[in-house]
Amino acid sequence: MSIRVAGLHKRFGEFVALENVDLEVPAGQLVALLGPSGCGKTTLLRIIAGLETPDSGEVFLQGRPATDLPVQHRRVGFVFQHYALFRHMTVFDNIAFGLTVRRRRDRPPAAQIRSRVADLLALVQLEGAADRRPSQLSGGQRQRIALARALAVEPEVLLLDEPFGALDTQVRQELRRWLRRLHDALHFTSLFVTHDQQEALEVADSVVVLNHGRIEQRGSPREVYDAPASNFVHRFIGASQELPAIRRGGRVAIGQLPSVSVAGPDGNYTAVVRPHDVTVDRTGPGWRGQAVGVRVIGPLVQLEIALEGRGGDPFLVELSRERYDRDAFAAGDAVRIGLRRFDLYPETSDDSDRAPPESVVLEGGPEAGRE
Amino acid sequence: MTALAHDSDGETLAAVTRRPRAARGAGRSVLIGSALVYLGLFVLLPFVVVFGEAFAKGVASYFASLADPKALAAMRLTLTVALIVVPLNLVFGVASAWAIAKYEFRGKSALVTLIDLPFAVSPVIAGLIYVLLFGARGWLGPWLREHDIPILFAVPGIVLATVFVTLPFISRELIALMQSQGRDEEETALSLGASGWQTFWRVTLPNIRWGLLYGVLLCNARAMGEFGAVSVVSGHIRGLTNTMPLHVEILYNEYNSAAAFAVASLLAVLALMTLIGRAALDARAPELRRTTLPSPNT
Repeated sequence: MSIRVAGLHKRFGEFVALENVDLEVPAGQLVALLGPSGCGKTTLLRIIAGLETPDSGEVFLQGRPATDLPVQHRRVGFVFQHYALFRHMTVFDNIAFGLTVRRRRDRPPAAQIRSRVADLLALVQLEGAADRRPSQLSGGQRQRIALARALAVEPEVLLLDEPFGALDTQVRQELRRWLRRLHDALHFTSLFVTHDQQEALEVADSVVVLNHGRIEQRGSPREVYDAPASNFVHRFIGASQELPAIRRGGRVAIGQLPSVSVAGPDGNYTAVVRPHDVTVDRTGPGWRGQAVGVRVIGPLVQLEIALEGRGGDPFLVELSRERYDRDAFAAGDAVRIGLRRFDLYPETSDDSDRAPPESVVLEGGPEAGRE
Repeated sequence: MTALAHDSDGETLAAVTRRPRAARGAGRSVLIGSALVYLGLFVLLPFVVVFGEAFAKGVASYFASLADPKALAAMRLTLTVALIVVPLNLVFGVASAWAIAKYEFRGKSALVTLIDLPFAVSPVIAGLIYVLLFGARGWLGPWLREHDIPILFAVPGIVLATVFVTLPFISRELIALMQSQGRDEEETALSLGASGWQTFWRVTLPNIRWGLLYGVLLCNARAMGEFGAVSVVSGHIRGLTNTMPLHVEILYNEYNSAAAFAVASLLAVLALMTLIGRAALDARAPELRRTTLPSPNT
């Protein structure tokens, strides 16, 4: 079932939770709502579920207006961060709840409910848990039961509010891959809220980035990472750091780096750089600096570099283990850095967060862009 | 009691092996010892005295004073009042705790303060409020007399005063509990297709049942034991508007102390049963221990 919202506004007192939000989720997609806390993502999810009413705007489920439809009739499954299992019921009764509250003429016979629950327990790989209480299960198991309970009523839309937020990293990764497989197998439409960009990029077909109650960008995981629509998205998704840049006569100068030719208006800019878009060498042109920290993180190596004339935190560079092993930089080494790619944002007033960037790609490192 | 004191000494001896622990152990047994002495002196001793006095003239006299028609009438009235007051405060307590814990609305903190008011007001003042309202010279007195509706010096007045005094017990117990439980389970139930009524009976009520029972227990104990407020509004008509605590006072003032203590012993038994019930509930639902027990007149 497709979801569409149009022109949603929602305030809580003075706080604006959603401001003119339009969003469409095609049937069968798994979409992530991503943003920092307080960005309105949970409010949006709750409005779609019918747990919250918008101040203005419309919600459509499968093309039909649903704004005034009570939550009971929306056919949505809702999964909470803290599972919200009925603590006084067994796992069986939890899963069967949505079926047993139906009116007598719609209610399946007891034998059918039993077999449905058994099927769902098999689906979430917790066959033996029917008689247990929620308090006897681990966090990951509880969340799987919550999911089975939501699926029991065959919802057309599954809404998940930070479903893995309360779990350990390991369980979290396992469970989100499992959710993806489940989604692929059952083809429901799902929308899930997260503040973890890794999770959004890994699981979703499409990512919606929210900030201050507005949608900043909507795109595939690759698009939002490679072509962020704004400085906010750039900084929020993946690591990034800023360098001051100046453009005069179509040439952009960043610190000690050789200037590159990028047509555009003169002025002050901010160059936003991802740590893996940086090259490091011992000699040659580039911005001089000193390695102050080296951390080997499995296949990745992070170098912290104090750049000449740049205060603040050290500049972060990520190298592949392979690249690192060729030079084996150590703390104290003198190095030169170059940029492989950066995005330019005009350094204007408060609106700078929303301006689209100019992407500058210097193939093959600084040498190629040098003139 | 001596056995308990001895136990704490035993622990001190066991802890002597290491100096710092021994020092701590000594401090602990002093604290525990003084608490036990204090409780024994001010709680346990009076309790024992009540029963001692009650049986001072023998078992036959004890049961005779309980079987006295006036005493029976007082018991009946006390039970009647509790049977009316507890359900009233039960419904109000659940409704108000639900509203406060699960919804945001204007004036919520004012409502919470208002619920606590009966604990802040001396019960005698609470009784006087009803005299001012319903008394012969009170605001509603003349109208009530015209329509022949008895409130003051009759059962309705006793019920009203008791409702006032015992109002916070159930709702305070439930507000803390429901706030800690949040709204997620109810919202899940709704999203699974349950009606509001089904959600209440199948999700909310089972989740608060132990807290509710706890509140009912305390509310009942207070409703049966209330003296001050009831004393002001009852009029002390023997066999008609005398509750058990009032009956005890009357008997005592008439130097009939054995009978007074006999009736009082019933109230003491009630208190004992309340305590046992509380302990049982504590064991049953440990999460209740977090909520503090409101004391009357604080």
